[in-house]
Amino acid sequence: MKDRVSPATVPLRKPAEVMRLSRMGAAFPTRLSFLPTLLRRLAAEGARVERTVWEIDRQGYGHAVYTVPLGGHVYSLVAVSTHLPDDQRSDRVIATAWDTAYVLYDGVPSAAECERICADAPRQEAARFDRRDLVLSRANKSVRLFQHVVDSLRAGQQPDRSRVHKTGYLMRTTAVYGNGKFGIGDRAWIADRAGLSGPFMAEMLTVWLIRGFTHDLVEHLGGATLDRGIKRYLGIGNATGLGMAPFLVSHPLLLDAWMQVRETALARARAVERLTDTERQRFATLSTRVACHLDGWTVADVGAMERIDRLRREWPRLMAEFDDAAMERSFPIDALICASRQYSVDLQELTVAFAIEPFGDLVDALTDCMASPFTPRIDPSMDLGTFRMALMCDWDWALALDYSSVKQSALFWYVSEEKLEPRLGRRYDEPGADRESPLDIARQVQALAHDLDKMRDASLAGFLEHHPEHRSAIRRVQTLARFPYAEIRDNLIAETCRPIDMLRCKLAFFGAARFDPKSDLWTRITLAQGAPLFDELDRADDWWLPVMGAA
Amino acid sequence: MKVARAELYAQTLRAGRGAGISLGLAEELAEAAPWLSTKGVEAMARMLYEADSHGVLEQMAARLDRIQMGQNADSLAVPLTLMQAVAAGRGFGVEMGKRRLKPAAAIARAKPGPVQVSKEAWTCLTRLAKRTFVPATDASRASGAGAGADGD
Repeated sequence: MKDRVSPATVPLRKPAEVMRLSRMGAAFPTRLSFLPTLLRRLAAEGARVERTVWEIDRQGYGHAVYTVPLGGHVYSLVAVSTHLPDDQRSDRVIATAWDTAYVLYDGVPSAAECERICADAPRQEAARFDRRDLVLSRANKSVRLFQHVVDSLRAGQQPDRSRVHKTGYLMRTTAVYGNGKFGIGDRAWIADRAGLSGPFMAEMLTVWLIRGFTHDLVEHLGGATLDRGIKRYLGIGNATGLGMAPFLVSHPLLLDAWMQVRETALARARAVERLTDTERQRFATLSTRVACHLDGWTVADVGAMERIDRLRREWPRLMAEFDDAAMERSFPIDALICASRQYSVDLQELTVAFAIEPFGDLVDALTDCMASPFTPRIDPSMDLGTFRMALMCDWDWALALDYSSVKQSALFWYVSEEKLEPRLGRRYDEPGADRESPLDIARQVQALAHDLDKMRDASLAGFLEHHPEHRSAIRRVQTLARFPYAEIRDNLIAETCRPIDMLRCKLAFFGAARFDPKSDLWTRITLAQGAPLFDELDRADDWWLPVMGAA
Repeated sequence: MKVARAELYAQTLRAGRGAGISLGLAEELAEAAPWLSTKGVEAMARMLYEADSHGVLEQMAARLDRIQMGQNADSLAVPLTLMQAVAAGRGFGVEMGKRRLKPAAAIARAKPGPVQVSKEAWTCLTRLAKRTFVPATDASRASGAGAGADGD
């Protein structure tokens, strides 16, 4: 841990509170999220993006290459743009063609490598890739906005600001693959490199570069320059579905690390006794920005819109309590967090992100702890008494549920043979539950506890010899005892489970905002909205919750 | 053929589940991916594919528990290279003593980069992995994530 100074802190929020789906599904991006972390790093290094190849024709098809140095290495985005018939444009994993395809390449690709990538990247999952290909992605044009922007520029005008505001991006990625998929480089290959050692850094670099390419492409097609304020507001869209949700279950130590970092940052902010004038000023500015952001965040989903509306009503009320006098009292952030508890969970989580934002000096170094070099390991030498204690302390909620009831076992997670698309089935209405993915963690732990109850005077190793089927659950229980934020503390097969809560939590850690849920299963989001453009890395520290025309 | 270590991890986990071994063992085999040699992958794929070997694989996990606790354990009909990779995934090592398996230093991780696997081994793993996939139906397709809002 590079963060050697130990600032004052208060106790962290308890995992039993933080790790509930309803709260995870209310998460907001923070300055600790991965994309802002990456951009601060690029800025600190004085990195410059160069467009070294632009072989794009008048219709906008062809390829381009962008290179950027980071941590002593050079990376290149190879962007390939091809014609896509309108009826093939789809957000789904089962799509087979896209407007654009991308590879983040380790180094600068030769002409032959470019040729290979141009041939293979548009095929995505159907092709095989090389270890120097670090990330594979694709993006489709936003039908709502892309052509409008091109047409406006061609007519010598800037695009309609309200339409830019409504969509917020020119293209939407529908997958960003890293870590070995389809033969691309394993994360282990780059995990020790400065700048890419944090989680999803290569993926974040890719989406930020893609966003810049989408700007260049509309300017190329429109034959004119986009207004800088508009351009900055155009992030990169993303459609994310179920496939992202199991990651949080299959990477418990990463989940713990992310939560520990955010909760530690919050605890440090709460332990600040007095705000400086600069910090007070900053909070005042951010308070207005949050209100503007909420005002501009409009979605079609009725339930999601109701939540945003409530946030719009609650935010000014909370801010009325966080006035100049409140900010001058001792421990004002702690008081703010306490005050937020009388409002919705959405507001509480927004307040967490708000409370952390001005304290870069205090919290930014914590992002070095976002990655975990460890993997969960079983300890067969643990005595049964200690193990039973861990079960009772951390899993009481799971042991209390009745998984034979329809309500507590209504859903099953599975992978479809159709392009391996992850799906969620209804156990009592659909076939396939015999092949369900093991996301029924709570049920597994209860089954373990049940068999353990029948076991007397044996060691854990002895128990495992009789019950090898509980090896996985035992490891999870032991992991949670050491890493308290490693598990979602909800039944993921219950009728009430909403995968979108898991997606939002993970996407907020990426730095996504403007969540636009399309069902309980998938959401659209915007990344890098308000983020610095390629030539603006000197302002990489202040774009939390973007507002059009700000900064 | 060459596969990324992360691909080997994912394929092994699915293959283990498809083969019907315990989830915990499937996870431990998958976590051996960074340490597995070409021969280790072959041995693992063969043992997963042959249902008769599943009991031996489960015993391997139990014996590794004993070795992890510093004890010796009876030998098993599992290639040492596979056992060492699984042990390394768990953070320790194992070696063959005069007659019994005994604790040792963990073997070194393979160099980062893809691993060479035989076509036969990969085919075995792929066939087993397929057993975890659910056949598509019109209904499941229609209710999948991303459905219903294309092209806006």
